[in-house]
Amino acid sequence: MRWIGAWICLSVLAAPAAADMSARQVIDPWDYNYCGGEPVYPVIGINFSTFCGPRNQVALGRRGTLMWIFPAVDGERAHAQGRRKLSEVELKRLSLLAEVAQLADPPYGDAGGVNYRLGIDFQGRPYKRMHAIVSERYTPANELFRAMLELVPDTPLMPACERTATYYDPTTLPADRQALTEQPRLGFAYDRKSR
Amino acid sequence: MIARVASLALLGCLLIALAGGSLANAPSTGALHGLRVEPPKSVPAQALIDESGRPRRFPVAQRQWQLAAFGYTNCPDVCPMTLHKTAMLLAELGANADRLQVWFVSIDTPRDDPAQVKSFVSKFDSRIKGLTGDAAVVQALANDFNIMTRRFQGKTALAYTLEHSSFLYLIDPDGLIRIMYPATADAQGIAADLRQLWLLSAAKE
Repeated sequence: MRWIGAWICLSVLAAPAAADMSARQVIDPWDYNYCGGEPVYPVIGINFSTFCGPRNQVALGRRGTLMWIFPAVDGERAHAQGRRKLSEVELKRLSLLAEVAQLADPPYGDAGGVNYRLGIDFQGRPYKRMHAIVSERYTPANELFRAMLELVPDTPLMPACERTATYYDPTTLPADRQALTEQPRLGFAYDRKSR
Repeated sequence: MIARVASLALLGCLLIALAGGSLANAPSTGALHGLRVEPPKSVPAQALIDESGRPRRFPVAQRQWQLAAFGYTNCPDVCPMTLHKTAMLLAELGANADRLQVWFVSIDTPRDDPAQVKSFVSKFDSRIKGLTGDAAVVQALANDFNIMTRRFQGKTALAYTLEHSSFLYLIDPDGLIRIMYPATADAQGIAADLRQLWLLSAAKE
């Protein structure tokens, strides 16, 4: 009789827990991609430019702050720069896009006026680095690039260039890009692999 | 609880928005419920051990589509819920369920032997298959899938928990990763995606 009583008590106690379990898909809203632990934002860094334009930078820091530097001319920071703390929803969106961008390979064969170098660093995982070209085509890296720029209130300077190249290093000075494209094997062979 | 539900709802909307956005240049398909990997990702096959103790390479091209989950049998929350979701997915697919193979890959090699993995996955659906293997091999596979694993040590050697990524990975018959599903994706959404992808595959053949 005592066992039956204990069983009934346990059943009553367990019932709300089971109902609660089915009502929610994950234990913690932050468990969008982790089992347990603290939420970890990826560190994301993007350098981008047109062939003749200055090197623009936008980055997400570990604590969820977005930072950007858009110079007017390389070596100067006169055009725009700033930082702002992102909201939870904005951070989740960037984190999800960074997850899929980290897994996917950079696209080949796109043509466009803006090259970018993207680095993603999730804590405890291999660092991801890629070089890509902005295009209308869907790729996780392009989505991440667009999502980052949408969160920046300033507009980068990306002048249209008389002469351009398919691949160039946006972290270099325009004069260096020009010099390197004249020796394309030296300039672009190193960054076509993702990891 | 209300805040939690609101946050989940928001995340669900966000996911749908992301999936919809990701298909802006793919008019032949409707909105997906996961994050499309473009171009589809090839991952080197690793020599694992299946739940019956037999060698098994994964991931490899095979007749079926595959859905892979990574976790461990002592996992208190996300792994059981993920496997429950995959069991619901198989039920949702009905007669078409044999077109999908669900894999559960254990990342807890010290504790999860094939028998343990089999016992765990069979509680959800006998069609879900478990994989385990040598620690270095499983870690290499986890790295290739970009899965974070972190160990939190308890009081004894075998008393620990693992923090890990909880995405589901949809792999096509060529062995390429096509879609990642976060923990918030539901079985009905994944089933809808599969039906859509199968229709597209049939149209191409």
